[in-house]
Amino acid sequence: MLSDERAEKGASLPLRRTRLVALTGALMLGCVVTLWAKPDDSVAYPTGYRHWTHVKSTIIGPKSPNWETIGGVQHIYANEKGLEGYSTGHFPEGAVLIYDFLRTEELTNAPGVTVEGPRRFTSVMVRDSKRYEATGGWGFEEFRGDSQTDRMVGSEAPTKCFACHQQQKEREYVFSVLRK
Amino acid sequence: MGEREERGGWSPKQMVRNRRGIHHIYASEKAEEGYRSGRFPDGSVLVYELLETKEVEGITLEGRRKRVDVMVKDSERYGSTAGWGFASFAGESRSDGALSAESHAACFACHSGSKEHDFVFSVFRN
Repeated sequence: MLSDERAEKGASLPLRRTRLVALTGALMLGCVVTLWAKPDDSVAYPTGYRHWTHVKSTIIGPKSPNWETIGGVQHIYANEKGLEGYSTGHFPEGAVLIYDFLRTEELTNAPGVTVEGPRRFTSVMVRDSKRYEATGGWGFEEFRGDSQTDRMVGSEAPTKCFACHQQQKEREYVFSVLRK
Repeated sequence: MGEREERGGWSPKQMVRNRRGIHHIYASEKAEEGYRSGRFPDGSVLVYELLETKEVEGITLEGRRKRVDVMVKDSERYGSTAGWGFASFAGESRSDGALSAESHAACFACHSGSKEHDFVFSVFRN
């Protein structure tokens, strides 16, 4: 019995060593990848935001100089932490604000009635003061149409988004106000 | 909206005059379930809000609240109107929502046009 046990232990040794070597290899590879790749600072798609709180809406009409590029109806939504920011003036970590851009359509069977059309893009602001320190503690992204992966901002957030939001420094870079 | 008014026999002109502004529809959690399943459970609340608008350089902004229309599902209480109770609060009022029997009946008559969707006209947009 005793010799059998020893034999078993001996047999299992090479396997353990292999595991250890494999683990060390994986750790080293991990370090190399971390050194090479930039930290992932991409903004996640805001799943379920249509169930969040509606902050307010605006309509950019044909008379606006911005009609061609962003014209239509815009809805702003906030998650619970975002809502906290509107009421206290300080947006906590994890606050998410959505600026949803939809086209508009005029009903032909009811003149004067404007309804929502297809989505142009969905703009997202995510509060993470460490990760997005360079842009006021907010991560910015825009998702084209109904896509959850087609990103329109990426690394251009400082020029495409923050350059303008910067003027709202005293309101933590947020333009909108919660409508009661 | 246009469709709704035509079913109810209103002319679009009348509708635009009476309902000019921006409309938002809100749903309670139970009502969200109704949008998904097509059957609105008891306790569902749908809100149809109408705000005034003002235009500044081609941009339309929300103004004062004109009206808050409410639909509440309670099969026992509102059994005669397929379980739906209707109310309409003017402006910022939180108390004067009760409708006359005639108005309540008119709400239901028009909403009967959407019987196959449990008397609800709106569809949840993703």
